[in-house]
Amino acid sequence: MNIEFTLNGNLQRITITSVERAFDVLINQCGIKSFSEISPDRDCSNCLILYDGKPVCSYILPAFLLREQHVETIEYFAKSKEYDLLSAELEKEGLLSCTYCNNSLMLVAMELVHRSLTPSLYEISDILASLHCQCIDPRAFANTLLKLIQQLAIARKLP
Amino acid sequence: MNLSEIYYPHSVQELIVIMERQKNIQIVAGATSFGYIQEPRYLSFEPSIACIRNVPELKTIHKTERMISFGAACSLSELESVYPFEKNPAREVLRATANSAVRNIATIGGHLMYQKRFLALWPLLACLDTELEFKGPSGTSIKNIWYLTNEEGLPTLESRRILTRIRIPLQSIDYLFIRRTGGGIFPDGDGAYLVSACSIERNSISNFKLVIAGQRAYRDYDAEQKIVSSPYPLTERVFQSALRMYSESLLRTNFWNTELFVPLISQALDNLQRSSIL
Repeated sequence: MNIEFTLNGNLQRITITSVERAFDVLINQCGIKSFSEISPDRDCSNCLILYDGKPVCSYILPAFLLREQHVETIEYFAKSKEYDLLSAELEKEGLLSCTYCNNSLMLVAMELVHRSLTPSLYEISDILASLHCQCIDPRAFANTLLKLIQQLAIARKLP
Repeated sequence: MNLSEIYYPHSVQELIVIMERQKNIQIVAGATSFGYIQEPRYLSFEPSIACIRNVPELKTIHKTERMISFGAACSLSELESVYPFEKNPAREVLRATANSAVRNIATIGGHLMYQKRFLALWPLLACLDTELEFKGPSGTSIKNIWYLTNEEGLPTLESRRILTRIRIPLQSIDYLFIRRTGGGIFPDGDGAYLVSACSIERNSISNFKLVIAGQRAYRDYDAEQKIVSSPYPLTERVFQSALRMYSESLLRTNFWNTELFVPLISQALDNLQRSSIL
């Protein structure tokens, strides 16, 4: 069947079947390159997308649920000012994660940065728990992220 | 690889018409259990799928003076800020169901209608006297959540009917005891939750429920009645009598390991005695 959905700000028209996972459709039909291969036990987070603004595992999501939704991957944010600022800040603090988790980590960070209300430390830890990432210190990452959010909040107030 | 026909109803009425026409139909909202459990790259469903994710009436949360009502397609994340999940320890149970990337898509309806066992929120909602609204071609029915169990304590789901709303009476819960045992619960672990809820009015226990659920669901109405209307704190006689009743019924039903759960029930009652709720 044909479905339409918004991917990274652009309308996508694709043909899917009931058996396909969103993960495969996004790679094979939409050209998304930011996902890593899924780990055999599926306890990874390399398939994360923002589905109507919230992080969701695209591997467990059937493709037919993409219909009429808004989906973002890290490609959408990679050229943004916030992404550059966060990358620089993480590098400065020695908090860059491995290439395996980096895209998902940056995607959830972008989601937290774009929230209208500043997330609490608990909310950041909760969302980081989805990533199963062993290579960063969650507390240090959360502190860096909160620092950036505060900086951006100040910047946003300026004309 | 069997392909299914996919429907996207815009209302419950439209969904019921589709259900009348299609015999083997799978109702899907978040589909997390399918996507997680099924190991093959390609998913399989019934010959027809009705995707109810965007049915507006299944996504709303209503609150009145007497109850709160969730649409069955509300995601678990959406429930984090409302009764009974807005406070610990109920919030902790909600967050323990899955990580946030799964809770953002998994729905309360899918959680309660899981066919193989009772998932984490089920015993809590059973303790809170939750009612479920089902709709189907033959009309609407409202049932206490406990009617989803059979005599063997196993899940029995309504066929050809759709869970539309989950209604929880708003009540003052003075004491809530939640313990998890065993390994995982989803998709098929040996884990279980023991939940006990209690309300106290004028130095007397006005409501008491204790539910164990996982692979099977267990509750002893007689033991609960022994505790309800008793003065608070419970006398040693009532305490021991209720504990003995639980021990006997656990042995009789053989749903759960008596040696494991009697000490936990004792702990629940003991904590109730020592809590500073008055």
